[in-house]
Amino acid sequence: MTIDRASNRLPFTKKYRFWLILLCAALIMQLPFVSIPFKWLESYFHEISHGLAAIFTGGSIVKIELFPNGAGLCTTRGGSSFLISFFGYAGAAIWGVAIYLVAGANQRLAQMLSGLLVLLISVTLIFWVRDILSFIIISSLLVIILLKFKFSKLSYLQVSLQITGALVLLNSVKSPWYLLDGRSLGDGAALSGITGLPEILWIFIWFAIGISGMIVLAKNRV
Amino acid sequence: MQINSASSYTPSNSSLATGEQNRVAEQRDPLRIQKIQESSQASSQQVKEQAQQPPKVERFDIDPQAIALIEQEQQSQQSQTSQTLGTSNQSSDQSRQKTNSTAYDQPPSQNKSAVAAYQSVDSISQRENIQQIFGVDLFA
Repeated sequence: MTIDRASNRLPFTKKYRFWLILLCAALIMQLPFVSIPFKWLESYFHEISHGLAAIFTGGSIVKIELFPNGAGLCTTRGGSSFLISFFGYAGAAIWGVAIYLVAGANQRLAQMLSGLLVLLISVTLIFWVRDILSFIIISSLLVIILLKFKFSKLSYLQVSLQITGALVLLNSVKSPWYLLDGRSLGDGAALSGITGLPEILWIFIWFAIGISGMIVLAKNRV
Repeated sequence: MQINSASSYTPSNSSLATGEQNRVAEQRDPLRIQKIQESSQASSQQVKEQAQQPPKVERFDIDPQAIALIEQEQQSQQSQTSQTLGTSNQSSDQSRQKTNSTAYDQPPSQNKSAVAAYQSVDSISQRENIQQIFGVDLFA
């Protein structure tokens, strides 16, 4: 009862903050040119998740490629094929939730998160990018993150990072459905080949992870 | 006194009997003759009909590819038997010479399968080596 009363006292923007940010992210995704860097960002988190899964399971990243249309490719050596395949879409969803939560929790944490993202993208550029096109795309992502430090108020940094997190999460919910093209290509087909379970099941799992992330963020009201 | 010819005069009886037999034979023969005549007439009619009908041309198509395949199989079988059993006959030697002359450098099927098996093993090992050295996975 006390919790309900407390939540009722919250202002509209605070109460429905997540849904407003998600709506804002959905609108940005519809914009013709503005949405492109955010598609690259989602693709980057997808590919870096593959790479990090390879590193955490004893493998290594050979190279990461990003393409202007939002596609990406991560070349790995060794590690668990199952986990590397699985953590493409799942990792992107986790990144989205983590960015949103950390950015909303504390302004200092938001700053630290930005610094961490700059470090991660810089490491990617130095060690795992081998072509000019991917270098340009990932460099532009680095510039977008660095520009967030230029905000006069830290609260703007928080909101912009939360929108970024929501965009990554929204894309991670939407992207697995592109695998239903009847070509048996991509992470779903790879997992289907490893486990023998159908590709559609993995698409549903990734979709469920993304939706669960949204529910968690909606309930946390950060 | 009447004498029954049948009982008292046997030769006449016999002659009569033979006459009866001959008559019976004669009575049967016309039937046989009739049958023979009928059959001969039927056969002659058939011949006439056949003669009247246009001459039938029996088709015997020869597929050169099929013949070539059969020859190849025969050659391979001959070469196999000559290799496994060994040939002492001159005729078999001659046939082998013939097959050798037609399929000069064609290896037998056993050798072919052996070479294929070797190459497959070799390629598997090469593949493993490539995977070990350059083993990378692509994730889109």
